Amino acid sequence: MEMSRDLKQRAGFGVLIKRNLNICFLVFIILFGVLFANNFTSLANIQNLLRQITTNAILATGFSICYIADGFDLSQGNVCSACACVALTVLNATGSVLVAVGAALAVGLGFGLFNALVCKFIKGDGNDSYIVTLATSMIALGFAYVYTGGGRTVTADSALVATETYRAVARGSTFGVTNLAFLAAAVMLVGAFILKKTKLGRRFYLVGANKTAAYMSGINSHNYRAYAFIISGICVAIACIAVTARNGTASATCCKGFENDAAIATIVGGNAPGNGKSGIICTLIGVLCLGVMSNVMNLMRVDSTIQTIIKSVVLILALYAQLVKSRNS
Amino acid sequence: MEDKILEIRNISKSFPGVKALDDVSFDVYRGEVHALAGENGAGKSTLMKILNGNYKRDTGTICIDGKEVNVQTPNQAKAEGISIIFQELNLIPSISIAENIFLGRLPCKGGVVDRKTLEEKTRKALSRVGLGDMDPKSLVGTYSVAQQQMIEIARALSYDETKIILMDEPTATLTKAECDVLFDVIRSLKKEGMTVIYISHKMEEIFEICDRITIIRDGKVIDTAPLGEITVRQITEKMVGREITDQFPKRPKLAADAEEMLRIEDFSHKNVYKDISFSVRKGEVLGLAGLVGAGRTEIARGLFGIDFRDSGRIYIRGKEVKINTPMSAIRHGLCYLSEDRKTEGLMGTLSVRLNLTASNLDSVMKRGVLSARREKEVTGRLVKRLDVRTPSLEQRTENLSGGNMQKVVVGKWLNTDVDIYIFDEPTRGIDIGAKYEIYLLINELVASGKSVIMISSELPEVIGMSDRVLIINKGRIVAEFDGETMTEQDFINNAI
Repeated sequence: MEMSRDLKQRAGFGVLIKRNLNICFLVFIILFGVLFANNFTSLANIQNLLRQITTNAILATGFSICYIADGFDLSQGNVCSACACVALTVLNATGSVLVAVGAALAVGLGFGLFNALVCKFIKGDGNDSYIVTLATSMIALGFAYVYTGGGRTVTADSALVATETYRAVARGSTFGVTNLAFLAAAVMLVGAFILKKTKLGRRFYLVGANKTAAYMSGINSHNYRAYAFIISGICVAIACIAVTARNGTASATCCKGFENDAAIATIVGGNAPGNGKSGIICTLIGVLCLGVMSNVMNLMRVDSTIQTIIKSVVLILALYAQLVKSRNS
Repeated sequence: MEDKILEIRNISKSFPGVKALDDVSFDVYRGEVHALAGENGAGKSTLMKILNGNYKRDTGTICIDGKEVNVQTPNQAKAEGISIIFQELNLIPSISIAENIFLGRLPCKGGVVDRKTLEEKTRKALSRVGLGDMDPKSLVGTYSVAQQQMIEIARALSYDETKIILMDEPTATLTKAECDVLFDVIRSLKKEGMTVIYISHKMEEIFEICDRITIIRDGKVIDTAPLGEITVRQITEKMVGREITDQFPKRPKLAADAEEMLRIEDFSHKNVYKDISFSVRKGEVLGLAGLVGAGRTEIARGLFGIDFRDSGRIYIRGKEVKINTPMSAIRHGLCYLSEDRKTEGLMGTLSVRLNLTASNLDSVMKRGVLSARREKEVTGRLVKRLDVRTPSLEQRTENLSGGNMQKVVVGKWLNTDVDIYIFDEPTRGIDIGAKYEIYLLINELVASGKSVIMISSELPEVIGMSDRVLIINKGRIVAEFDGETMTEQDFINNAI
């Protein structure tokens, strides 16, 4: 009698771990960092860590919303580069922060809209969005090359007053926390609000779970997939502002591969189309997992190529864990 | 003492939310054709899949030739002498007969396929099913469905070990003449000493070809008897488990002055359906009966705006409306409950709560945002009203039983203000107890002034539930009957 109750409790604990694998993984790597990486817990490192993850936090928010609606936005990285090039060029030319930000948003929105329209037009399923956004990614890369006159690096003109205003956001911090972190937090809050509190967000879940049944329930599935891509485009534009404000330079390849990190964060966090428990909290966990992992590896002086391999292996493991989980539940 | 080739003892199998097989035991004798009968969802196919190693049984034992066997995979089943022929053909049309028959075990010589032996062996297998003159090198896709079925049987025979052949509704897609050929083959196999387990719900076939019958209902064996000692009526009653008269709940007769709710005129689409016109009144259940493929589902999908139609006008409460998409159909008060609940009705991986509110999110909005509290209230009420048996509102709908899935789909529409319910095969794959609840639900709907169009292939159901029945044959309405006076003979005379 006593023993059987004991067994039951243990099973309950196992289920709890299985349900919250993402949090367990985060706790594990934080512990790993605390134990094995020098200076991991120092204030400077934590501030640095926050600065490092902001761009990905913004991108991953857009990526997750797309992914929940069963879309996969591979164009994020190159579109972000294109936005960055346009933003800085316009900033240099007009000397107006507002116009520069507006231009970046227009470019991000434009590419998002392009993804959306193509996906709506071909009425494809989730897998087709890989190919559509891959093509968009190439277009964005080509656009950025042509725009920068063959791949020159655009540098913010430090003589301009506007540049200083523009970059002050990224350089400054409030209560010891970089301003960019507040920007990322705002984007995530808006994303979470859309997903959990609006009809739009709810329909992303419904369409992502079963677009045919959603259609038969009176939801225009392809439209909602399209809206998700537009949201992702807006997130990309906001991320580009964070990137350019921090670096002060931009090029056609400056954000290359950013979509990989967004995808890893989204999936490692536990998001999946058709999973009602997906959401921005999962995304935040994923972003933190990836951020802490990179940070710890940097502190331990792991070669950057090796880092990429390790991150990819984690992605595959996360995907596998998710599949096993959905098969068992 | 008869010679038992197969002994099935105390087999049980559960799926989430439903007990598919419950302590099933019966014997099959050597060299007999043993019929397995039961309603849809009774557990016949599950039992076949367990015998063939597709599913694992929860409990019980299987003995072949008195020896207990533990079949885990289809390959092990073949090694023990069991071969299965599924309802859907499992041949690859683009490769030859010989390659299909010996797929995965082509005879080889020095690492290369030995074509001569392959063709010889194929010819031998084909001749056992009366197809000795077929060219083993010809492509399977060039033959008719009936011939392909024979090739499947030849494949089952090509395994030297095969002692028992399971056939799952082999005549479902065959014409009468083709059936006769199949029966000849079965008879000659019997003469060779082969044992056949034959699943069908066509009584005439069972009486023509089988020696004994086992009747399954709700996963339990009801009876096993030689066919000489049992009548068709006894079999049907054992399959259904109750007398047919009280299978459908009564409801008051439709008021003579009930207003018209929906009228469609001149619905046509290519060769699928033509000149379809009918109307449904408030509080009426209109049945659409017909054979599978007669065009009933297509008409409903055309009406609901899922599929394109060439022509047709729709009037709701006497006013013409345009319906081209499900969105516009719902706006005008229609809803469609698909026969395929899993792919077209439910967001299976999402919770009961999310499914119930999918069609009307406005019902759970408060000050412009989704209100979790409101949603819990609304969906909790629906679950209670429909008596959905689910552990919680957060349960994934794919884990519910068929009947409860259907209740959730109905609940999704109850949460909207639609007036016209189109039910397509509302009780397919639902066990008998839950069927009765679905019927009660339909009665409740019409009692509250809704209209119901019901498509069903279960004849007693469509006759028993409808006020009026339209018979659709090859895409046209060929007859109309009063539900109260219609007989099965009326259907046979018009639908076939």
